[in-house]
Amino acid sequence: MTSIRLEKVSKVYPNGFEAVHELDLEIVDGEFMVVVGPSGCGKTTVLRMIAGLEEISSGIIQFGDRVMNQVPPKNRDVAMVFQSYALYPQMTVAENIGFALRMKKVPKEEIDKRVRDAASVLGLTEWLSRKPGQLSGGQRQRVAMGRAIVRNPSVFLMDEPLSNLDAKLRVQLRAEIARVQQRIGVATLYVTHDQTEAMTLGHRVAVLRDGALQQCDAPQVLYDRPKNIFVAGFIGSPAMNLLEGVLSAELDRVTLGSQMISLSPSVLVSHPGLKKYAGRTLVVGIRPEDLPAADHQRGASELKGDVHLVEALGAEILVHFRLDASIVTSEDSTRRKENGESLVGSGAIEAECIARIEPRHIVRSGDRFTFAVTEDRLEFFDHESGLTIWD
Amino acid sequence: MSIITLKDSKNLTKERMAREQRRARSSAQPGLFGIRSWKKSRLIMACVFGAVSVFPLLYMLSLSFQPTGDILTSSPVLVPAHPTLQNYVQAWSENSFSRFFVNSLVVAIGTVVITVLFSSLAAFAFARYRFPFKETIFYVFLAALAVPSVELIIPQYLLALKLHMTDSLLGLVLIYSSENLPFSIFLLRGFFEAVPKDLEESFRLDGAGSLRVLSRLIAPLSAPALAVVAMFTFNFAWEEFVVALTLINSPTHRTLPIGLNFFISEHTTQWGPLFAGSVIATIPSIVVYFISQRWFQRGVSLGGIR
Repeated sequence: MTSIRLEKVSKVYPNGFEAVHELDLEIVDGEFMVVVGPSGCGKTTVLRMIAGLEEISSGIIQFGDRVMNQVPPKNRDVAMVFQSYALYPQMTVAENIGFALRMKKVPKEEIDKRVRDAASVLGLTEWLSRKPGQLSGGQRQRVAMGRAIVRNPSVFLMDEPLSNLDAKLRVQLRAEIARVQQRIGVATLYVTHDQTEAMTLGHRVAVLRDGALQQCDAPQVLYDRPKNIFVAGFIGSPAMNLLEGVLSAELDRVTLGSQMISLSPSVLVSHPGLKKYAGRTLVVGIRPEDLPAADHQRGASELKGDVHLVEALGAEILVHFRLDASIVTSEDSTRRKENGESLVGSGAIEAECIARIEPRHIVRSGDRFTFAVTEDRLEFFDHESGLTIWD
Repeated sequence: MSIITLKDSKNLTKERMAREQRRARSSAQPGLFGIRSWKKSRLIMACVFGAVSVFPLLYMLSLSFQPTGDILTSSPVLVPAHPTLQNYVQAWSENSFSRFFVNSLVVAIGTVVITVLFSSLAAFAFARYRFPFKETIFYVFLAALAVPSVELIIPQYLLALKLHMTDSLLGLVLIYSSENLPFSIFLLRGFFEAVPKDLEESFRLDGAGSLRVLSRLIAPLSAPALAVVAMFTFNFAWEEFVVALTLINSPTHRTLPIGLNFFISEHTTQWGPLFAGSVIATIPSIVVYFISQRWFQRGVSLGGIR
């Protein structure tokens, strides 16, 4: 039983590319930690550094009290599920699962027993004598899991284990992974670019971007209180609408293009930091579900938009509409900051937004539709730093 | 709407079927044995090449069963008129042929073991490790391929003299191995590099060290290449003549190719025993080929998952 601690861990490749920048992360014993981020953000590198497959350039990696920086992979007691599964094609399923135990010189009867146990947990019993080449994608994935759990490792690492499967199988195996992890109860690091996997599986989720940790919190906290524009835009599907706005000097309304949202005093109570932004430009974030169809109550804030696409999903309707406000995209905010540009003001005065409304409403593309704004659920971000404005 | 789509798809299918039938008709003109023309030409080519390579073997086999008198007639026949085993008896008992056979077997197997072992280790290093001057060293190995082996006989002889390995089977084994290593390393490196890195990393995480990665993962997955190396090396060592003739003096250390040469003397050649000896000498090569072939197939069947 081990916890994993990363202290100011960096990885610089020989060509000078910094894949991971001073990462601090702690995964306590039994915790399911998901590292999520867009491709190329360094998440797989983090995993490989913990496994010992990649040397670290600076910093400390500890398992429990033991510094692992120089420990070779085979002595780390780490089990890893690879994206490609990395099943040994020359061995049967049983031999694949039992291989690590054979390396540890576990007695044969014990290996047989543990392999059978793992196989029954994963529903692989009838495939034990097959070779990996004769299995389906889902079965191969299970074998890879079996190979990892049979060892009772002290650390469990998974590198996008579901990305090669079809959507249905992915959902099914996602639940299975959660169950297996709970059962073996060791510190687990799971890397994915799929935020649904991150939200559903992780006890905590670490959002990584360009090798730097953006935020590490419970999934709901990430969703409700993102620390910056990037996390706000990355977590949630469809993504949060991020628009440039100007806060009035009286702090009672925000102007988005030609429209205005009035802010109730309760917003100021929950976001006291807004007071510093009186009369200034900031970024307003609105989740699609916080833009229901307007019921025209007196005093309620509303936004009107030109609908150009309607996606009826049955339980809800996703309405894509345009606003005459500047849009802020979270993807390139850092890059623009590095180039000395302001986060906003890309020149696009037509913002593409998405609202999630109830299916009883009738919306057609081409309509001008009115959405209610749930003021209490608005997020505000500094438009220079991209940080969330709370206190 | 849906009906139209159905109809459309039916029309489409009909059209496609008609097109395919037309194509089938044009290409399936029944020719020789009802085989399509392009297949036929391939078959003829294969038969010609097959005949060219198999005929000498068959003729050798046929002559080995004919009494010397029949061999030297002016009208040679493929089917022996008076088949006899006398040539085989004579070949095996004269000139300690059996001893030469065993010597050759020892040398060939020794060469195969050393070549396969060392070329695997070297190829593994070239394929998987980073070290200074890696590519330069690799090209030095390859450059050795460009030197005709006959040119190396004098240096090799002097080297063997210094190492007190003239007139020794071990000396032959070492020289044969050194000549086979460059190509074997070249061949194996390519195969070893094709084994996915993930597999090796997973192996290491499961507790395997470098040697085990090579012996339990990379070698089994490269079985076809190892079989090729083993087969080539065996045949090389089995039939090598010039180095063996130069290095070996004492009759007890002679190898088979030199032994066969004894059937040819200054004035007469014992054709019957010579061909019988040649047939015996061919058998191990064929056995090795069939053993290797099993490994080719095994390797191919593993290929799917890579």
